[in-house]
Amino acid sequence: MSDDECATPPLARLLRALADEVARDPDLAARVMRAADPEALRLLAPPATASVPLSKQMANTDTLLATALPGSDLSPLVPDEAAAPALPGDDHAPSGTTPRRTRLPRTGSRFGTPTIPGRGTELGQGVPDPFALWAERGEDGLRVVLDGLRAGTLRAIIRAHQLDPQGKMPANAPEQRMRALILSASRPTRDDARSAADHPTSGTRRNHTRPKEG
Amino acid sequence: MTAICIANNKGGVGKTTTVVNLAAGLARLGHSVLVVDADGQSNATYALTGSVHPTPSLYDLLMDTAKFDQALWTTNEEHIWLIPGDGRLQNIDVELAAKPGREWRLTRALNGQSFDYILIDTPPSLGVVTQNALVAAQHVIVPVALSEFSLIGMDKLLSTIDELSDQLDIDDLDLLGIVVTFYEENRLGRETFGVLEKKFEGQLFETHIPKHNKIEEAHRRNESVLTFAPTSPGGLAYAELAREVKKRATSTGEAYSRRRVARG
Repeated sequence: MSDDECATPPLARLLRALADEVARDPDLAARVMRAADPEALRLLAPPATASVPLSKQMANTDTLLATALPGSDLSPLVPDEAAAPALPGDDHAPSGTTPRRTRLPRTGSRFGTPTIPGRGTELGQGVPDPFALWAERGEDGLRVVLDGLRAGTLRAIIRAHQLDPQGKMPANAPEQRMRALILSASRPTRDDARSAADHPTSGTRRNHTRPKEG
Repeated sequence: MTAICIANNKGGVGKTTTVVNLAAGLARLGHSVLVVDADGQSNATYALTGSVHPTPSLYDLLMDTAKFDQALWTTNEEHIWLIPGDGRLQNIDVELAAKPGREWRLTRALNGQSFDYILIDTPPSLGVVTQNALVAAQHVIVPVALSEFSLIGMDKLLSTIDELSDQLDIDDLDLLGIVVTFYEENRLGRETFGVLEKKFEGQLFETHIPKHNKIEEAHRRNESVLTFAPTSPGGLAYAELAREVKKRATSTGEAYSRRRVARG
């Protein structure tokens, strides 16, 4: 077996892992595709068939890429047969037969975006810190984050950061009420502003403690 | 400290629900609980944090690309910590295939930790991740959904765990009990429960978990049923199950320490 053949399974695994990451993160997919060479992307388009005019196929490819890459800055393809690059499968296909089809790149889930995206990893590990989020994103940013969180996490924020020390929030409080409390309690005070100036990297007021290692 | 693996190679029997709510029940009894989500579907992670693709996760711990503290999360529930699971765990069997001591990686990562209880949620398979969970645990709880289908294969599951224990040189793994889930108080429910009771005499937990919509609703809110609806039938059942588990598997109060037994 040659060295190249030995390297194939790890490479295949790496590419599969990359494809999985790209498939579950539409934003990453868009960034990767934007970073890729547009000419290379054209080569990944489906080949011409005898029954459909090339110009029409190129228009379809445009639609496909535009759908796969929302916000992409790829220049639109010109429906000009002469200017179109050679497509895989064209060279050896005898006229009148269907050329071999090239597999399309996977640019995201074929079945759409996840039904439940879950909260983003950028919120850190565990219970989100509203003080840090306010410091980092401001009131509107924190509001957006809170809108994406469910009752359990909102309740956990209130508990973990002691935002309701007198226990006024009922156990079955509606989500909107919890969001309002978190927003108002996270508003920086003058003391916080002074403290932030002294310790610019610290946004957390309180931390959880866990059992110590034995 | 006591480590309990919740396992059944059949899916949809209430493994994750049992892990999340049993953890909440034990936490309410004043214990610190670590949940290890070894299922690539990461449902326990979602139920406890609202996150579905957390990193670093158990995958990184098993692959030695993260330290325990880096993969440790606080959760929405008080006194419950989490080593989250993520989708990469579904392919880890292949990646760990050639690694030495692959079944002992979770045990190694947990050694020295001082939680009162460690609950390990497993995928519906008996692959390397489940083997890691069985090696790391001292007890197994098998949830069984009360349906005819679940009864088929129960014998096989228990004998497979036995065989795995032999193969992996685990001497002290015991069956803490079988917990009936999705129980419905009707003729069919009573009959099926009767079959189980006869077959697994003394191994069934006295508490059985009713089929109740508040349990599912709690998952959707990213909290346990004991937080969301503590007095609902589901909440009361899990609180009772926690008391029963505590009675059967008393925490030693010592740090987690488990070593491979050298066989002569």
